[in-house]
Amino acid sequence: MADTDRHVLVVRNLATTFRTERGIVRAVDDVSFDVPTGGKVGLVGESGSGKSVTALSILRLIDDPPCRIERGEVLLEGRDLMKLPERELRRVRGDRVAMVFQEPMTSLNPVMTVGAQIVETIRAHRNESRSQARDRAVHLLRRVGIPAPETRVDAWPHELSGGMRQRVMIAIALSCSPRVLIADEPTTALDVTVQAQVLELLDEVRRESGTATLLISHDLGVVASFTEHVVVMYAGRVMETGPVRDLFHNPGHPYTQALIDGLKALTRPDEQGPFAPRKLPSLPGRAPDRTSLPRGCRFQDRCARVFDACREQEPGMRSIAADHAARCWLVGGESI
Amino acid sequence: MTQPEQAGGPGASTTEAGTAPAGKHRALLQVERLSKLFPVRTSLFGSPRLVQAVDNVSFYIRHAETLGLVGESGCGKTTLGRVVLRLVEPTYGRITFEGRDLTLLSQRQLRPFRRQMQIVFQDPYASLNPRMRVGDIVAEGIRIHDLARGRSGVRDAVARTLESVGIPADAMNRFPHEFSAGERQRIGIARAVAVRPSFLVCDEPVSALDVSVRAQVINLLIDLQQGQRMSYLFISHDLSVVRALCHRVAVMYLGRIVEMGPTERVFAQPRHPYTRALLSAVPVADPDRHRLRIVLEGEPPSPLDPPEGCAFHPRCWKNDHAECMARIPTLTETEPESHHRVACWHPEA
Repeated sequence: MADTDRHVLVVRNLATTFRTERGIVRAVDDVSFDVPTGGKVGLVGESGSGKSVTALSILRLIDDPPCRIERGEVLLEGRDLMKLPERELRRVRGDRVAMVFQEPMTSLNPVMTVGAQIVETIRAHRNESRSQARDRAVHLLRRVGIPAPETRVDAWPHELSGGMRQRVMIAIALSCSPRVLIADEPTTALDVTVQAQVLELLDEVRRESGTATLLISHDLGVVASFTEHVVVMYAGRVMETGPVRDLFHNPGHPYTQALIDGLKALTRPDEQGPFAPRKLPSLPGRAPDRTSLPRGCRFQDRCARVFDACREQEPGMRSIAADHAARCWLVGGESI
Repeated sequence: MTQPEQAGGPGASTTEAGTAPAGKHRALLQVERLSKLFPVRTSLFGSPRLVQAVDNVSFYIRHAETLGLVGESGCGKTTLGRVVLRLVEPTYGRITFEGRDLTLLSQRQLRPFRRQMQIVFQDPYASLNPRMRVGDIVAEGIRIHDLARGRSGVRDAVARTLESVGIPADAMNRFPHEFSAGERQRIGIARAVAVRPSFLVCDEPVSALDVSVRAQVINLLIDLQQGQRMSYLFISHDLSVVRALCHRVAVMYLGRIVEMGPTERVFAQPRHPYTRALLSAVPVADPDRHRLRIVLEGEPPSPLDPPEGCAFHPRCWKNDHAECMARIPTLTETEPESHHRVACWHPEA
C-alpha cells in the first residue's frame, strides 16, 4: 500500500494529542491513508473528529505545547516530513505542499495587497526578481478566474468578496506548483453558487497541473461529488476508507451508513405528490467525551447494530474489498 | 427606486403574491409590499446612501405551515425575518398578524404579539447569555409574560419546556457552555417555545450544526409544529434542509422574492433561472448521478449598486432581452391557482 511511487502523500499511524485541563485528548489517533499522485481524496468527519488536526499535523503546523505529534510518518514524495528539521520543512511548506483554509476572511494578511502576498510566497521559494514574481502573480490571478487581474493584483483583501478571497488563497497555494494541495473546508464559508465555482476551479487545477488534492469537509455530499477516494473519521479514528462508489453502494461502517442515509433523505431524488414534512433519519446522542473514551468501539453508544464485542474491544480496520476497509466487527474480512 | 409594474393594489386580488386563499386556510401572517432601507455611509464625508435590503416583498403563512426563505448571504433574508417581527422597523409595507396590522401598533401595544412571535437564531454559541443558567434563560419569557404562577409554577413550566425539546429538566441549573452545539440549539428553541408562540422565525437554525445533529433538530421542529400547530418562517441557504421541512418556498435575490410556491412544484419545476442554478449547485448524494450543474458566473451584486432592470440579469444566461435590462419583473402566478409565482421576463419552461 505504502508505495511512494504511486502515492505522493502517505500518512502512517499519525497520532496527535492535546493537553487540556480535563486530561489528554487523542485528537488524531493512529490515522493512516494515502493520496495517489495527481489524485483526489476526501477526508470527511464532523466537528471534533480530528480531520483538521490531521491536516495541520501533516504540515506540522500545530502548537507544541499544548498539542503534540506523538508518532507517525508523513511521506511526501518519499520524504518523511516528521523527521525534517524546521528549516527544511519551511522549504517544503508552500512549495511542494500547500494549504487552503476555510476562512478566506482571516487567512489573508489584511495589511498587504493580494499581489504582495503572492509575490512573498514565490520569492520565499524561488529565486525570482520582484517584477518576475509580480508577472507570475497576475498570471495566477487570471488562472483562478479573477477578473481584471492586472488591477486586482494591487487590491487589498477587504476590497474582495468571500469567493474572490478564496480564489486568491488558491492562487497563493498554487504559486509554486505544489504536488499536494490540502484544502480544509475551502467552500464552507461560501454561498452555494460560489461553492460550485470554487470546487470546479480546484478540480480544473488538479487536472491541468497534476496537483493531488486532499479535500477536508464535514459535508459528505461535497466530498462525494468531488473526490475519488474517501476517508471517514470519527472521534479521532479512521472508521472507513474506500473508493467513493464502493463506499456509497456498500458502506461497511454503520456510521458511514448513517451519513449516507442522512444525505439521501435530504436530497429526496424523485419524490412525487404533495409535500408533507417528513422526519429525517438521525443518529441519537452525540460524539463521545474525548477525555474519557469508552472501552471498545468509539461509535458504540450511537450505533443501531451494537453487540457485545463492540463494548469489549475496539476493532481494527477490516478489509471489505480492494482498497476498501472499515473499523467494524460486522465487516467480515481480515484485519489489516 | 424603480417600482415594478404591479397588477393591482395590495391585497387586490387572490393572484396577488401576498394574499392567502380565504376560508379554512386563512393566513396567520400576511406581509404586503414590505421594504427596508438602511442608510449606509460609503465615505467619511457626504450624505449616506440608502441600501434597499428588503424590496417590496409580499407573502403569507398559513396556520401550522412552514414557509422556507432561501437565498445567498446578503440577499436580505435575515433582515426580512427581523422586519416581520418588528425587531427591525420596516420602512414601508404592512404586516398583518391574526388580523391586526403590526406596523400601526406602538411598542406597548405590540407586547402581547411579542409573546406569539418568537425567533430562533443561527449561532447557538452567541445567542444564549453565557452568564445565565439554562433555567433562567428559558424562564425569562415565562416571567415577562406572566405565564406561570409563583416560583414553583415557573419551575414546572421550564422543566416541561426543556423536556419537550429533549433536554433533561435537571439541565436548568447548568450554564450554556456545558452543552454541545446541538443541545444549545435545543435550549434556544426551548427559550422561544416556552411562551407558547403561534409563529416562529427560524434564522438558519441548523446551519452551525453537524449533519447527524442537524437531523435531530429538524425532527424536533417538525414534532413541535405538529404538536402545537405553530407556523414557521424558516430562513436557510441550504435547499436540501428546506425541502425536508417546508410546505412552501420563497427564493430571494437581492432583496426581492424571485420565485415562490409549493415546495414540490418549485423543486420539480423551477421557473426562475436563479432557482434552477441554486438547485443544480446542491451536491448530489449519489456519486453515479452526475447532474448537469449550472455554474453561475460571478457573484451576487452589491445591494449598494443594484443592476438596472432584473437584478439577476448580469449572471443570467438568457439576459439578451431588452426588458431584462430595463424593467424589474413582477412576481406573477405561473398558472392560475397553482400558487407558484415567478418574477422573470423569460421563465424556464
